[in-house]
Amino acid sequence: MSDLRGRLRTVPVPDEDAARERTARALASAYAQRRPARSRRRLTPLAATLAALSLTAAALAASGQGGAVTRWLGDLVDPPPPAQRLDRLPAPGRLLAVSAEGAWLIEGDGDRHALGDFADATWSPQGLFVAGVHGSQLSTVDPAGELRWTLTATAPVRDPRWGPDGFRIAYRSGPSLRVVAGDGSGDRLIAERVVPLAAAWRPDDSHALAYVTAGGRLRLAMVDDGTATTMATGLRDARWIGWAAGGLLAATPRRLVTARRPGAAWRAPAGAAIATAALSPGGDRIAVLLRGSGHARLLLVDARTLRAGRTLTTFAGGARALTWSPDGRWLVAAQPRRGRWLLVPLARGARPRALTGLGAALGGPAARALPRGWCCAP
Amino acid sequence: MGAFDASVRALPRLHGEPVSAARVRDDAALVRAARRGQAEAWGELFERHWPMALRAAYLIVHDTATAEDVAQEAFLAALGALDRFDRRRPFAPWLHRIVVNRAIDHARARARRSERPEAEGAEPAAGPAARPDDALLGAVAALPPEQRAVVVLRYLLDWTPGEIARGLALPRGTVNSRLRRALDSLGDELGEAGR
Repeated sequence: MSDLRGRLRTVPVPDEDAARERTARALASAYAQRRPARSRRRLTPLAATLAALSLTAAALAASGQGGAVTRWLGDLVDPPPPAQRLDRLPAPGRLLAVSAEGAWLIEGDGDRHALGDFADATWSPQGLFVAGVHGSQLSTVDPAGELRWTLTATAPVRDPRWGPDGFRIAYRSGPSLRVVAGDGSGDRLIAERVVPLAAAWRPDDSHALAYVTAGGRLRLAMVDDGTATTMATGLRDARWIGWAAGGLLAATPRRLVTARRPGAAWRAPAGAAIATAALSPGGDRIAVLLRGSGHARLLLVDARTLRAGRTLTTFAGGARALTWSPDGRWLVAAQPRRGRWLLVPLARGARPRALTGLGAALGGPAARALPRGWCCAP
Repeated sequence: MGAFDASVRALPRLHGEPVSAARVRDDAALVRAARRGQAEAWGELFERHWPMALRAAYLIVHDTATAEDVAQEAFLAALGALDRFDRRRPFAPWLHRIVVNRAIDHARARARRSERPEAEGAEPAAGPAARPDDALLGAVAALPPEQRAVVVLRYLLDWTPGEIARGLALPRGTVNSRLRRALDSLGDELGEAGR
């Protein structure tokens, strides 16, 4: 038995040193986010951050890992963003939002009006219509909120996505994926069981739709002739799929992969998981939202090379519903637990802002207000 | 046996060596210091216990990246529970129990996936084929996750069968039978001399 003991203790663990270094950084960062129990009532957030910084830096210096300090310091949260009301948009276009009281259209000057009692909504490609869902119904309205048509499905409808030429709308109904023409006709089944994730149209007029099956296959369906091809597998835990300059991409909690180059991937740092992603209007960059222990980081990844670019901001808590502005200069994400949206500029040196007062602006609890698309600069 | 010897025998053991009372006190002191905000103490706890946590996870899940995730999640869970941690309990067994339970969960999930025809896209555990310990790793990997876990707890982390039974909330007889079956399965690899 001593032989078994000895061999279990000496069998090599691949990548052991790198794993130790990655985890040391992640834990140092997580520890820095934690405030000592006895001091919680006395320290202000700023003082606590400074204290955690100095303690952790001292610890790393003492352990000879000073070189790692500069790497993980970027993981610490930015100062709280200044708050502003939702009284204007910083970039051209109109923002689609949903709240507990339905879908809203927010104009550039902050003016807003209700579009209908929709739990989710999406723009048509030119911003001429909005597709909204309510229970098992899929409807389209114009930007004034006038109803065009309604389709009633057999199961609750989710994640409508309008195709790039405006002639098809994909949506999930229960476990299945379906497509209907832009005029409400020709509703058809595409896949019986898919993961709860929005499908992604190829950005051309081929009516090619990518989706992930319940078995984790990334499939590309030609919706007009009913054929489908498997592009990648092992993606049952996919969080996002999208078409970028480099082709079809998929994100799981641990990695961002491309269907064009099997094996190529950008991996989330240790201690972090990809929560969601969003493709820039130009298709060349992916905004990736990473969740760590108690904090989140928003960074850019090059869509062709899958190389990480700069971190835009790191903040406490989480976020969802990541949305680009049409000019690619801003990102907006909801922080439901904080009842606000984060408005993040891509300009270097510019600071994020917090959009507050969402409950008053859009009705219902602010936690349920989500951006759903920023469309179509004139 | 003197009282001191008895107290040392009653202590949990780490890395195959009986743990001294001073070492246990050290861990307890480090936990207290880490709770007070001393990052050095947290760093020392990590340095002490990371290698065995990673190794235990690796032997159960048999995948480097997953093992790193499991061990890291265990440390993050420990950090999250630091303020609630019962200071009278030794730190290492508590951490190892988290590691082993999470590793079992991951290994079971992987086993379930491998039974489905659409799981062929799952990343295989890659590695060179000719390493001397590959046979042992392969033999351990061929065990069901539950048997891997008791082997790791018994022969890597040196838990007694009673400690394993309590730690995994299993009947003592189940632990013994899993150990027996695991050793039988490993027999070819270990050789009769090793048994």
